[in-house]
Amino acid sequence: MHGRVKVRSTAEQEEARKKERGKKLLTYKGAMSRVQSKRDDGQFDEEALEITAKLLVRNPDIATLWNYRKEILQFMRENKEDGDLVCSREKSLTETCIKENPKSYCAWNHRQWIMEWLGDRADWSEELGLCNRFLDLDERNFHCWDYRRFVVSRGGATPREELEFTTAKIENNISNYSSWHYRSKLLPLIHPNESMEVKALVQAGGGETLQPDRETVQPERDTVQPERETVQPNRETEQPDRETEQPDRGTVQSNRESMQPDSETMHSDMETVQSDWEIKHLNKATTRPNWETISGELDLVRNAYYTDPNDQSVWFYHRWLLGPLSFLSNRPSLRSVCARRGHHIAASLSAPIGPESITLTLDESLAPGAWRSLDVSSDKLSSVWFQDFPDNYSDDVEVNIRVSIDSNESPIETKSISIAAGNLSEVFWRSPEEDFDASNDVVERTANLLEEELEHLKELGEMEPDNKWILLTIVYVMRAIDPVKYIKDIEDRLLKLTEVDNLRVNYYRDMQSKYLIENQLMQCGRQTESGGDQSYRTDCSLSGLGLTRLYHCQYFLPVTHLDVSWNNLSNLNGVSMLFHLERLNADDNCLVEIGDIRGLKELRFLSLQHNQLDYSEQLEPLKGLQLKECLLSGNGAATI
Amino acid sequence: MNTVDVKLPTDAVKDLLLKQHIKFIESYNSETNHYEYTMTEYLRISGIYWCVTAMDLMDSIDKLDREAIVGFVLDCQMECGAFRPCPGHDPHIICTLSAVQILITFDALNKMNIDACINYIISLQCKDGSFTGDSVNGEIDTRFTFCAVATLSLLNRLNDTINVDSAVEFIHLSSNFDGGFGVRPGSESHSGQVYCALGTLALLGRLSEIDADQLGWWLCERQLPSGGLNGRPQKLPDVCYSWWVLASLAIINRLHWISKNKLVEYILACQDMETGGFSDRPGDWPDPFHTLFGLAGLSLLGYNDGRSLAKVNPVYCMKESRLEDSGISIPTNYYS
Repeated sequence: MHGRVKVRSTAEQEEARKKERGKKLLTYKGAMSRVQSKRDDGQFDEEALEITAKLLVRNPDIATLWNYRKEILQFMRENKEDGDLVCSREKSLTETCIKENPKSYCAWNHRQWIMEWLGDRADWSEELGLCNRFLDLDERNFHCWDYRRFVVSRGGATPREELEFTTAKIENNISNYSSWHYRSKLLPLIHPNESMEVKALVQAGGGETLQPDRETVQPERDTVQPERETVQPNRETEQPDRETEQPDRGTVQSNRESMQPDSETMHSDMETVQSDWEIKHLNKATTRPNWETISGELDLVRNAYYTDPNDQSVWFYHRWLLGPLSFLSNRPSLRSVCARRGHHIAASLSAPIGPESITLTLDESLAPGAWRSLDVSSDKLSSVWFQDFPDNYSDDVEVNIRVSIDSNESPIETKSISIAAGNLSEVFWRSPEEDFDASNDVVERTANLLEEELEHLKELGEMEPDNKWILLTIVYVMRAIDPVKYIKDIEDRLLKLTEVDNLRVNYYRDMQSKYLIENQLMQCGRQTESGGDQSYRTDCSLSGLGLTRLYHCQYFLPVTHLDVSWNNLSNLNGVSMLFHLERLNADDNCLVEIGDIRGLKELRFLSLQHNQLDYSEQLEPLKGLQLKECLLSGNGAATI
Repeated sequence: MNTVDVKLPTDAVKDLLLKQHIKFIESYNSETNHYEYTMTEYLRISGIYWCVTAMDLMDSIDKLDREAIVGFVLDCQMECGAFRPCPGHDPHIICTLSAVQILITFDALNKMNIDACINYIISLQCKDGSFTGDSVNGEIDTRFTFCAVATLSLLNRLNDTINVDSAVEFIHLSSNFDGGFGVRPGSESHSGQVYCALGTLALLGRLSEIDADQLGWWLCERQLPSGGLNGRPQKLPDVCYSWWVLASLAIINRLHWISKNKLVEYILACQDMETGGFSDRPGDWPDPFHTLFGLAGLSLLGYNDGRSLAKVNPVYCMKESRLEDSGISIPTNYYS
């Protein structure tokens, strides 16, 4: 279906082709019919193997034929046939089929199935040789790479040997993405991130390997399916350092037809010790190598991008190597808590969490209500949660409000605010700058490295001024080093990018918007408002910044007056979570839709002048609001 | 190093040949395409889903024989609850999703054994949250997770069946350095798998757990100078990726990160003027698979202001109004 060129042929050629196809069809149909009737009759014999083999060599994607073969092999095994002869025949067949279609899922899967059957008797170095041959033919064949990882998980090679293999491939080949990808998996295994956090998490899990148990055991169910068990390979290697490769899936067998001899290891149905939260962190933390490795790897990467600055795979890899360098935390932490008597209590977080992870306490007792979310997406997680302020509090009594983020029922972050007697509202707001300082364990260590990297990139950029990869990477690195210092350089390069890489102009514009808003947030904290020692903004202007997208809206929760006029917004996504908003100015944008803002119950003034709201349907979202004033001139729908 | 790409022919098709496509699908049967039809019987039911959905997007479903198709599909349901691609072949989760999609399109869902189907899907889930494709092979693939979740969602039984948390965890384990997703943990990122992962997360309400900007960037980098999209870096463009990549971008609300006009140009150039239908790239043989995804891509791009084609749903790849009529909750307002 792919890559079949339509070539003009003569009537004669057409005739010949038709004839040949007719013959093929007859053969195929005859063979399939014979196979199906034998199978229906429960015949598991040599003839069946022969016919299916003939069919599969031409049509390796017919899964049913592989299934039948498995049934036959199981039958033969039970009848004490020579396992090694049988397996060698399957190996030969699968290899022929893979040659015919190197991308046949079933053919590769069948070979894996056979290897698992062989277990300790498998010749893994032979399998590795097969992978080498097929990767020489097509270095991007992901079926082959996945099979290779399976072979490695059985001891066919060590992660270090595999790393060397990828190095050789990268040095010799043009199309390297698969090799770089594999390196991204191997490095953290060989040189794990040994930070305190990771150590603690691994200990908590009591794990010798870093992966949660991956087992297929179905609990008792009233289903038609028999209980299936996966046979897990022995996952501990002989190496002293923990170089366990991620095990590929074991084969699933039905209980009554167990293919595996009893020597295979079977894991018992153990509950995983770690909590979901810990597993998440563990997985994220263990996907990066340690710092020394990163610096070393950067040398390899630099060589690669100097050799060929247009090789995109190295740039994707480079981005990953530098790490997540945003100063904004992507772990959920409390950004603000806002409470208003008679109205609501709202909390915003740096990253979305579920309502079960956030607890509200009023005057030491759990709040009666439930958290609701205004996040536009239908996600069960949100960065902004709110509850109605309970009725039974009179204005002249102080009320203490405590919000905490929990994991496994224990609080990991708590903030308390009090609305004093006679006061209507109170706000707690944490400046993102604090995040910046806290997360800078990473940035501190990388500061020199990043500066050095920037110099290399700038030098290369001078030789290749229109190379978008270099431009984009410089932007990324500058942002990491000092977003405020480099604000103009970044802007210039993003503009250049919209010229040299016009296909992705909207991506660059959105990134520019993101960076502008992040810079605004950083500066927010440096200004004090009246109202005590908390510094937050109720008045926020993002006007005239050329914004195409509103990012990080949850950070603006306490804002009551927002000005986003004179930008390039086509929608107001994100505004919906600005729960406290009383006045919104979105004049002079390119709004074609308003979005779901029906949750903005406090909004009284809305200005949408000079946009592209030309049809009454586009004004539907205004219906749920309690606006005192709404300005719509300069839109097609204004006259409605 | 030159970019791997195609060059659009100077006489490339510039309009949507709707009538020809209707004819192409209508006449794609055992008579006119006898050879392909037979040789692809191992995926017949999915082929039917491609044809049916393509016709639905062209608002021409009445041209198909509803009775015959529904009859065929129902005959494909096995005792275990799963569907086979056609008689004589074994059942599989992929065929099961296709079957349910077809039955919903023809408003015949009540005719199948829903409970048996649900039980089958539940039985495919492994302890680590992954799904096998059937009950005989051990093959694990994030495609199967999507098929399982999408089918359950279409049957409105996501809530009390599979282990959602572990299914999501497995998806995350299959993510990579570039933000993309592969076949299984350790596998290279591939647009088809990205679509399956995002579709799964969208249906399970867990899209906010990914870095949309990072993944969006990898996805928009699929667009080549020809305007077409490839499936992963340094590969040729293919019209089916104007679905997998595009739907992925739509799900994370970043469709505008590619050039719509250039992509439309590419997709239109993949039409076959003689027979109708779309092929993977200009000048190749057309088939129903690429025809569906070419049309679906154009629909998602709002081709001709939505006047030529019905609106397609980016998660299910089905006509959106069809889903609304069936009362299926569509995860709207994707990630913002």
